[in-house]
Amino acid sequence: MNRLFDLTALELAGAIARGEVRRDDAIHAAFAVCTAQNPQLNSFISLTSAAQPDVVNSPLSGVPMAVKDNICMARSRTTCASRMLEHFIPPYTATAVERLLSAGAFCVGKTNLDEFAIGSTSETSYFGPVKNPWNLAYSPGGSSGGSAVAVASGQVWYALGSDTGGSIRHPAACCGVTGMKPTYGTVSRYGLVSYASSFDQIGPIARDAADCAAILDLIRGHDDRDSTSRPGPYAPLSGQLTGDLRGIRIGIPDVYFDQRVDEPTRQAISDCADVLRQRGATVALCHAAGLEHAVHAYYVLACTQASSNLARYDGVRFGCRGCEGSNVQEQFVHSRSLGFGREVKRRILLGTHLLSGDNYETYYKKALSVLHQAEDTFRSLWQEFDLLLTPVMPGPPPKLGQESNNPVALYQEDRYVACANLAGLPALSMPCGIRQEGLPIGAQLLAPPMGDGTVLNAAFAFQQDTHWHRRRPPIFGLGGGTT
Amino acid sequence: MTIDTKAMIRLERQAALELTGTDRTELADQMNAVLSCLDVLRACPDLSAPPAATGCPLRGDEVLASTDRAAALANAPDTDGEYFLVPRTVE
Repeated sequence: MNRLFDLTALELAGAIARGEVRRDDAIHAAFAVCTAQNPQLNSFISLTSAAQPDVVNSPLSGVPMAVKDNICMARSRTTCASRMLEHFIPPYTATAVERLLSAGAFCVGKTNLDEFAIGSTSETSYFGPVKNPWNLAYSPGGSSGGSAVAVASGQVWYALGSDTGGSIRHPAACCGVTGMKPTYGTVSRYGLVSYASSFDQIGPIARDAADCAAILDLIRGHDDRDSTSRPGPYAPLSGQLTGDLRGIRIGIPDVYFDQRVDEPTRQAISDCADVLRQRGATVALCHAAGLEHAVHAYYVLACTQASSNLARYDGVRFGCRGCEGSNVQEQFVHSRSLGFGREVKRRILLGTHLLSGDNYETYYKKALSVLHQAEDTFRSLWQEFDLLLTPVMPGPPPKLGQESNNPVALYQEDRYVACANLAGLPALSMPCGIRQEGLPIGAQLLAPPMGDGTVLNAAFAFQQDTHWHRRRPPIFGLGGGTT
Repeated sequence: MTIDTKAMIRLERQAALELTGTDRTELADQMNAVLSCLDVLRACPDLSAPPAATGCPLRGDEVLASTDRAAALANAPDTDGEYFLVPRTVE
């Protein structure tokens, strides 16, 4: 196997800066692996061909990366894995991508996802399902499944994903990589195709916490083009990675250790807590009343926002146009019925229903109430704890096709991750074990808003003393040649 | 309230979608399953107070440069070079 692929993004950038590795060799190696593996894994929707400027003196300069295909790049097709946008070429670039490219990142391509980032298995893509590199029969999680797979299988050193209800952390856990949803408002949403605007966040998926911190240091910061962007200042995150957890109080909320959590996951989280204790943290179980219905509230609010956000796809200004109707309304209906897949239609219709008539009071206002209750619960928890530790999911990811017609089971997958989106919290998923069937297990760390540095430092500390983030699937780096 | 075929057709009209008969039945069943799950929210207390403002700064109400016409039209399914074209709306 090519030794380049064993490096983290920071290590590769260092090797390029010192002249030990040529930037072009890293890029060629990435393209070779992508080309060799994509027919099997389906992690990319498109590979880029345009030359990208070489920028020196940046912490990740020259490192090949990938971008989820719901994040716009000018002159590169951005499909959201939908027939609706199959041929869409955005006239602008997302702020997060713009910042990475200005810092010398090389974008290899756009990664596959659940259509419009709506889903948690990466199966609903118009371009076919993404496969888990640890076991091709399983889902890689979603919706940023392509990004997680691209990093886990050695196709790129890091990738951007988006997280509306766990869409970075869930696939990161399924694929054995580290993924982070930063505090809402710290990474600009400009150029991210909207699903549920009050929850959507762009974030990194990488080999370890140090890479995530370096990526976030490049993409965080205020942006006038996103009205929910937080004003600064932004302290650099990489400088907060000391690995010292003395004085850090970590809570394990009882609500996330119900009967759904299987034994391997329980054991892995318990072992994770022991490592964090050995690094100086105190870890205690805690009661978190008020979070039981967070996932239900999340679904009401996400579906209602989706039904509104996706109303813009009418086949007039961009996107798929259905057969000519006798009037403009008929044309809208034809275009939308042709362009959207089943899961997207289901969420739009559900969102429309939840906002109609009495349902607004019965579901929507109640969901808002639960959201505010969840925020209150977290505020109380932050009086006692600096971090919370939870599973990312209760068991292994579903097998491909297993739950595609069971939305209730799929929605329950988000139970452990959606609460961070409701409250706008920073949350990270890191590998903390491998189950008997050879699939990774993920642990989640959450902190108060703007506690991104605390989350990353705890993950960094954990990764100093464990090797789970260095475990690779059998397919890793395959196709990249040897050096 | 259960979503039956009649309610489904109304929702489709509101959402500018049209499903085939089989899809309509299947999606309605799945949506009803989700709704019965969401019913736990009915028992949750109402909002006791209006939510606090998030503190997001508002932008100035100024006209700024935006996407130019050619770039905006480049993705349109049908244009005359200056405008988006749609079927006649005024008979």
